[in-house]
Amino acid sequence: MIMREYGFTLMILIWLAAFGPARADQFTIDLEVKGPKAGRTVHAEAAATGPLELGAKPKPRAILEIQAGDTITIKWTLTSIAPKETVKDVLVHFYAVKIDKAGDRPPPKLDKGVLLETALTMDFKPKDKSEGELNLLVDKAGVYLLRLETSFKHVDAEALEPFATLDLIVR
Amino acid sequence: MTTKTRRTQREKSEIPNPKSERKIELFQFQISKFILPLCSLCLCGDLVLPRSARAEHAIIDLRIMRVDSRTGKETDEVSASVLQEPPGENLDQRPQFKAKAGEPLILQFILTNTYPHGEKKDVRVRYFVVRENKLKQKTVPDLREGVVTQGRFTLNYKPKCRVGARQSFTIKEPGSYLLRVQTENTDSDHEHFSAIDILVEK
Repeated sequence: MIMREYGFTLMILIWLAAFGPARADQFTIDLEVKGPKAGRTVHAEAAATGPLELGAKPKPRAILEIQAGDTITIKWTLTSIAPKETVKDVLVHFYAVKIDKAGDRPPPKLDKGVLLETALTMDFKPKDKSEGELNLLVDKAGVYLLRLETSFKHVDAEALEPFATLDLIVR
Repeated sequence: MTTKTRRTQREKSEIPNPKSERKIELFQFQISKFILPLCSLCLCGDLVLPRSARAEHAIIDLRIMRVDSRTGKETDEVSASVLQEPPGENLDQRPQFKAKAGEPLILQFILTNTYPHGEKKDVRVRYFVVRENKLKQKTVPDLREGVVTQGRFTLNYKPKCRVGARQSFTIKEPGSYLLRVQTENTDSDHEHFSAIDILVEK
């Protein structure tokens, strides 16, 4: 088992050494959230895999307002725009979680207030894409963070992982 | 046919947050929580089930549970494992879950592709909760009406890839409902699915 894990890691390192590290600009993300009366679409940003610099402020998030009891439709598309490389074992992770106020950072653990969480793994060759479409009824007022994020193996400590996010305000 | 039903008090579990973990090891968490029990089930299946009756190209762990609104704890879980279509399921063995109208519920599934021979493009994995005319209904209801919640994913389906979801939901109207997760467009002579009936009472 251990040998298998190390073997896999070694394979990834060799692959990355051969083809270069995966970078944020290898993917585009479209995250579209539609309520009964309005919708918002947000696109990929990039998150450093290391800790944020001290005092760094997160970029203001887009906001969509709905009423309690509304059903929203969430559509996302993650597309590889890498010219040649295959990005292996990309984890595509989406969640909707209650937060205290708009703009709050994602909670470190998704252990409470999670309405919806999904994940899939896939290798992305150039132009490959993955899509998701989800329905979610939000019946309690509050502020919710919706976020699609990716995770994959890097050898570059400064490498960026793309994500797309918005705040949902439920009145 | 490997459908099994069980009710257990279970610890609260989550698909972990890879943002904080910074690893691709999302599903390693499930190895302890879900995959090992699943492997046990598969081993039991090897002993008691005829080879022709097994679905061999996917593992699906589908669960539904209620949430105690005061404590937030999850209880009374019902689970179902993978089947294939054709031939379909023995309806008498479809697990059943009883709920009250408006009660907070959670559905969860993890699907693992165990087909070892290459990648399949644009496979869809769909899950839904939809009203059905009666429990153990043979035909899958039309998803154009009576849908409580649904989701679908499109991905290139490589060996050992996984798809999972965990969603809070409620059913407001009493009646019979079907929770189902299924593969589509796998370019095969059969698809895989897992299903649970939900009986919602006042």
